[in-house]
Amino acid sequence: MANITILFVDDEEKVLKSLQRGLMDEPYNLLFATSGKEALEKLEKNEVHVIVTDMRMPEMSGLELLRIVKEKYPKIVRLVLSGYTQVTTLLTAINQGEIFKFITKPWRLEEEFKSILQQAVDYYNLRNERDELLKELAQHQRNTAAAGNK
Amino acid sequence: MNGEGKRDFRILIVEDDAIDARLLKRQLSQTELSITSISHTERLQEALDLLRQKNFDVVLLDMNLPDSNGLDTLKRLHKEHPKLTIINVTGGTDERIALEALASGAQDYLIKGRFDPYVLNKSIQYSIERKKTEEALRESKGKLDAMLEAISDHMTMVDRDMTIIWANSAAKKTFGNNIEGRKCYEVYRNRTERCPKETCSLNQVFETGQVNYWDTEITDKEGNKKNFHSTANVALRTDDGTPEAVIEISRDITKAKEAEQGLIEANRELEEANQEMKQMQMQLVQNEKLASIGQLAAGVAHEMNTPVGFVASNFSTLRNYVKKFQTLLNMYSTLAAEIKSGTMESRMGKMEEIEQAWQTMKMNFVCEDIEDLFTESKEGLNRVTSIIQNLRDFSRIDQAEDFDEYDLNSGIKATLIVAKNEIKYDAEIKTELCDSLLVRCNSGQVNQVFLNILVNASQAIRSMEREEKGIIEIKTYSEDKWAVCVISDNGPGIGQDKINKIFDPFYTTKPAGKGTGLGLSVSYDIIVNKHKGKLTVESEVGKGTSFIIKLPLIQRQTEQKEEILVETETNG
Repeated sequence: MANITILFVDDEEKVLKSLQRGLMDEPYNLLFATSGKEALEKLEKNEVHVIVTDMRMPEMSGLELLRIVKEKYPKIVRLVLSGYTQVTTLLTAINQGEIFKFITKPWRLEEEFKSILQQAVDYYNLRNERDELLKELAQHQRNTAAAGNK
Repeated sequence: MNGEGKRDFRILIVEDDAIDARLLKRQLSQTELSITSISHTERLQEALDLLRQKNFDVVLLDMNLPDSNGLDTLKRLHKEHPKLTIINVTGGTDERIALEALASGAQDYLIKGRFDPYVLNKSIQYSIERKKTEEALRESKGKLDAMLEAISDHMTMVDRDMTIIWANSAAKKTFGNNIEGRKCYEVYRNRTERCPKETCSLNQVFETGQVNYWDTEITDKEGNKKNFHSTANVALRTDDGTPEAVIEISRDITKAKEAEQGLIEANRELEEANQEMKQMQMQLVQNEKLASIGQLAAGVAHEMNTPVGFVASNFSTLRNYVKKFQTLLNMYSTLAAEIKSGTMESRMGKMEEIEQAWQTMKMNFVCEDIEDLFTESKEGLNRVTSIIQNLRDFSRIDQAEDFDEYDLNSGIKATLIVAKNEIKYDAEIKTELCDSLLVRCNSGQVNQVFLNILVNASQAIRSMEREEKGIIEIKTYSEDKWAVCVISDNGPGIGQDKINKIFDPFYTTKPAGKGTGLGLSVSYDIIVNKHKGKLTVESEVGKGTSFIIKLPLIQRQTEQKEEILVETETNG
C-alpha cells in the first residue's frame, strides 16, 4: 500500500500547525495550504489521497475548492473542518461538495479527528481496492473472452 | 301751540249728564292744549262705536252711564281698546273705587267739581305720557317674556327661603307646571328640608352676592337623572343691597356628558390600542435585536471555534509530548543506573536505545515545536478571552436601560471584533479614530447601531459580487458639541428613490428572509429618540454610502483642570 498523503487547507496557520504537531506520529504524509490557490498548486505537484478544508476562506471558499477537487481529482476523499455549523452551510457542503465527513471546530484530536482520518483513508483504500478488483475482473473477462474466441 | 313737545289732541267725552259735558268742554277750551277735536257721547255703546271709526288720544269717562255702570264701564272700554288713554271723571269720592279704576286701566281719576282747567291740562298730558311708557314697558316685557319662553335653558328665580318665585316654560316642562311656589330643594333634590348651606350653590350667591357656576345632577319629574351646568346671579336686592332673589340658569348637558363619556371611552380604547402597538413595536425591536445577534452568532462562533479548535488540539498533542518526555526520562534514568553499575556494552546498548527512541518519537521536532505550541496556544486563548470581553462590552444585557459615560472608539472596536468575521471576506476595514470620544449613552444600544450599519455596508458590498474586496472606512472625530462617527463604504450606493425610505420600519431591499427591515429604523430610534443625537445618510449610486452618527459630546472638564494646573505652574 502506497503512502497516504493528506492535504489540510485553512487560512488560519495556527490551525495547520496544531494539526501538524497533532498528527506527527500518524503514518501519513502531511501537506498544508493556507488558501484554495495554494492547495490547488500542491495538488498539481503531489499525489494526494485525502483533503481536509476549512469552509470560509478569503478569495476561494472551501466549497469552491472542493468542487474543483471533485472534478479534477475525483479519487481524493473530501472532508470539511469548519467552525460554521449553520444548517445551510452544512447542507451546501454535503450536497454540492459531496463530502465524506464534516468535522466541526473545535475538533477532538484523539477521540474523533484521528479516527475520522483513519476512516477516510480506509474509505480511499477500499474504493481503490474495489477499482483495482473491478479492473482485474474486467481484464479477466477480456482474457476469458479472448480465450473463448480462440 | 306749535312749540316743541306740544301736540294736537283728539278728545272723546263720554258723559250722560249734558251739563257736566258742557262744563268739561269749556274747561278743555281754557287749557293750553292744542285740541283739534272734541267728540261727545252719552252712552258706552256709542263711545265704542265711535272709537271703532275714529282715533282718539284721550277718553274722559264717566263710569256711570245709562247702558253701563261703575268699574264695568271702564273694564269694557279698556278691554276693547287697551292702548287707549282713559281718564276717569266721576262724581263719587270713594278712594277705593278710584284705586280700583287705576288698576283696571285708567290713567287718572278726576272728581267732578274739584278740578280746574290747569289740573285737567296736567292730567291729560301726564296720562298720555304714562300710557305711552306703560305701552313701551308692556312691549318690552312681551319681548322679554317671549325670549325667556323661547330659551331652552331652565330659568328659575328663587328667594331667600329657597322658594321658586318664577320659572320659565323650559323649567316647567322638565320639573312640572306647578313648580312656582314650591321649594327648590323639593323640586330638584326631592328633599323635605334645605340642603346643607355648604353644599348649596344658591346659598353662596345669596351670601357673596357674586355670580356662581357649577355642574350638578338633578332628577326630573319623570325620575330621570340629568346633568346640568348652572349659572346663578343676584336678580333682586333690597334697598341696602342684600340679595333678595337669585336667578338660576341651567343648561341640560346630559347629552354632552354622555358624548363626553363616549369620548372618554373611545379615548381609553385608543390608548389601549396604542399601548398594544407600543408593546408590539417593542417586541419587533427586540426581535430585530435578536435577529442581528443571531445573524452574527455564526460569525462569532467561527471566530471562537477556530482558536478553541487549535488550542484544544494542541492541548491534546501536549499530552503526547509529555508522554514522550516521560518515556525518554525513564530511559535516561535506566541509563543513569547503567552508568553506576552496568558494563560498557550495556551502557552503549541503552544509549543506542535512547537514540532510537529519540528518532522514532521525532524528539528534534518536539523539542523545537514545544515552544511554538505554548506560544500559539496562549495566543489562541488570548483571542478567545478578548472575543468574550468584547461580546460582553458589546451587548451589556445586564444593564439594558442604563446610560453611562462611554468612549465611542471603544464601541467601534468592540463592534468590529463581533462583526469582523461577517465583514472580512467582503471588505477591508480602515479605521481613523480620534483619541477619545466620550458620550453619555447606552453602550449596548449604540454598538447595535454600529453593528447594523457595518453589517449593512458589508452586505451592500457583497451584493455587487466584485472580484476585489470593498472598503469600509470608519472615522471618528469631535465637532462642536458633537461626537461624530462616519461609516462609509464603496458599495453600490442608494438611489434617490430609496434613500428617503431607508429609516422606515419594514423597508428592506434584501431578499425575503434576509432582513427584517427594522435595522435602520431601530438605529434611528436609538440615536435620535433615545440619545438626542443625529443619524443621517449620504449616498451616491456607484460610489458608495456614508452614515453619519452624531451624539452629544460630554464636555471634558479634565481639560479645563489641566489648563488651570498649567497656569498655576507657570505662575509659581
